[in-house]
Amino acid sequence: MSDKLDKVSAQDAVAAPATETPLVEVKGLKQYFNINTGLFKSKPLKAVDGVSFSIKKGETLGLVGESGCGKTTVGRTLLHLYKPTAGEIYYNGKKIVTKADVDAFRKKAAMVFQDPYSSLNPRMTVSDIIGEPLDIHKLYATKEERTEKILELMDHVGLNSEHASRYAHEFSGGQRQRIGIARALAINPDFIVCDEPVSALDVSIQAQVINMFDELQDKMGLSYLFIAHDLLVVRHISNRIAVMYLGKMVELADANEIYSHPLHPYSKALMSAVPVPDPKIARANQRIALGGDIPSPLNAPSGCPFRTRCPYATEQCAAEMPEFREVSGGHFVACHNLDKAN
Amino acid sequence: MALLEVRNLQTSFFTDAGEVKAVNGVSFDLERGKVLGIVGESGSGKSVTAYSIMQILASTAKIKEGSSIKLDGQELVGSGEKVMRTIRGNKVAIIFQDPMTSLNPTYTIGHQLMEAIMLHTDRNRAQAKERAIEMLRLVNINEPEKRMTQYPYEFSGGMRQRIVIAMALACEPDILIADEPTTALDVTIQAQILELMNSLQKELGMAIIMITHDLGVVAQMCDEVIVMYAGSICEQGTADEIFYNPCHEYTKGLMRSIPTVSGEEETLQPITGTPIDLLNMPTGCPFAPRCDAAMKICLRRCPENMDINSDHRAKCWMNVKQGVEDGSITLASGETAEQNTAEGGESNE
Repeated sequence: MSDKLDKVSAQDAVAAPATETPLVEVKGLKQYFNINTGLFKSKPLKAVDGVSFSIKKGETLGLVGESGCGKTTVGRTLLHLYKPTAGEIYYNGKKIVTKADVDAFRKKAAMVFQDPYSSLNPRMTVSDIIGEPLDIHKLYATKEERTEKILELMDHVGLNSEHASRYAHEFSGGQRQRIGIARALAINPDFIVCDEPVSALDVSIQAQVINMFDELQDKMGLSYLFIAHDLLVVRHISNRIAVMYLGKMVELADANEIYSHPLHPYSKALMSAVPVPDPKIARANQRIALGGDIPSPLNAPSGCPFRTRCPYATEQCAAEMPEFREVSGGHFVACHNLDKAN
Repeated sequence: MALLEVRNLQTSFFTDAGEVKAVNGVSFDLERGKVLGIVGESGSGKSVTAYSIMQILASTAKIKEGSSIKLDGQELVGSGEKVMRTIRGNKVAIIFQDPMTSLNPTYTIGHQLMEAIMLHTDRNRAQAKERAIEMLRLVNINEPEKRMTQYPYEFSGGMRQRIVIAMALACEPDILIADEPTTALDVTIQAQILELMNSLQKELGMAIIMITHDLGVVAQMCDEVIVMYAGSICEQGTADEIFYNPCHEYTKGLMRSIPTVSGEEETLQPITGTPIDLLNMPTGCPFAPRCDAAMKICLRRCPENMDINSDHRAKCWMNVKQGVEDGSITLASGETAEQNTAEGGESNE
């Protein structure tokens, strides 16, 4: 194990990472929700508990984890759809503090939602849906310019301009997701949070939308935070992947690295559980079966959140949360027992 | 004789807008102890095929005349509700995608399990309870005695699905139909459930019909695969044949549109267009409007089911074209001659 790590770090030492300012940086982000547990009692639900990462310009960071691990909350808190309980968010090196900062950030950051059905207002036409961000941020001088921009956006995402006056219900799932993407692109953003944008789509349509995300990134130099649970899709689209478990980040590394050499016991189980669309590999695949279920975030275990399902858990894991540390160039893991697990 | 023989199954929904042929001439065999996968996009008719076998269709739907579903030699189509009641749960059991909606939230797990057992077998209450606890243990639920008195909301999604599986297997069915059993679950829980289904299938020797849109699940679970598009089977064969030697343009498209295992940097090749409107079915091959390789004949005539080899059949004109080109198909009858001239015309253009 130590051999492997040394080799990797030696390689990365040669290719020293450029120290440019990341486009978006998050430090120690926490998001607690108060849950009423009795008439006058409430308890914090730690949806996100101390998450740090950065996204470079033109980069895609994939965020994976099981339902309830807080990945969607990270995306939403990042855009201040929720007010963060604690932590710092930087945009282009500038800390976001005031309402004005948030507004300025939102002019450059957009979001694409999972459900293409509930995220579009059924009473608005396509041109109104796409035009709304333009209205809010006053991005046009004349009415003609607004129409022109809307048609241009529709063209960008492969929607027929004749459909501008139609309503959302007249479109299929894939087309609706295109409308959602056009709306996100309306403000000409630098950064888009994609919250499971292809999960609700059929396989053949999924590939169309994934390719579109790729093309838009090449054309417009966009950065994505790509949240999804389909690991093959995430790996395809992401440069780096972060794995979350119960509100904490457990591993962060290059997409192929984390897929071929996961270090954290949870990432290992997660990667081995991915159903591989190849019968021979799938039959030979040794899956690491995890016992039990993900604990409730209301009663999260002490120390490392994964210790209740971890085959390598020790007393130390119950006592303290392992540090999220860099074990080799760009590969971060939070685990006390890496030697045993690998 | 196969355990389940489905022949020319046609199920239509009669709506105000017209007849929707959700399943249009589906035929397949299921052998004892085998796992059959049915894959396809939403609206391709895979669930309706399963519901037709169970005859749990909506009131607007009808299994049309000429369809035949034989279970162990017994004809199920038109057999009536009384017969079906002895089949459902006893011989064929079904589990659905969303475990929360298939459990009654107002009754305990124990009550629901025992109800199913007492309904289908002549066990008394005490025996049914014993059996229910045994089943919960089989699907790896800890402390089953205590869990019997709990309500569905007290269980996680994965556990609920395991309880539904326990319920389905309590009467030892010959066939288990699993309609997207893991789609609502997380990957590690999905792995647990698939593992469980695999081991139970081996232990109990039942056959499984696995309905899914996830090709990864199919690769992991299935011996044989049916690929459906617009209500009919476009390709069927063993899992290895379908994955390594796809012979229908739609199947090939599906394989190209998913990210590969090797994860090499390549662009996905999506299938263009959108799934077909079942109210306006074309005369030719239903996939032709989206098919990059479509020829003239594809738009005019529906291709016949053609044997690729003994384990593999596909409905695609491309195979005929290829066969003619490499000489393995000769112009035997007037029928094929006509087809081939039509194709010859196309390739000359």
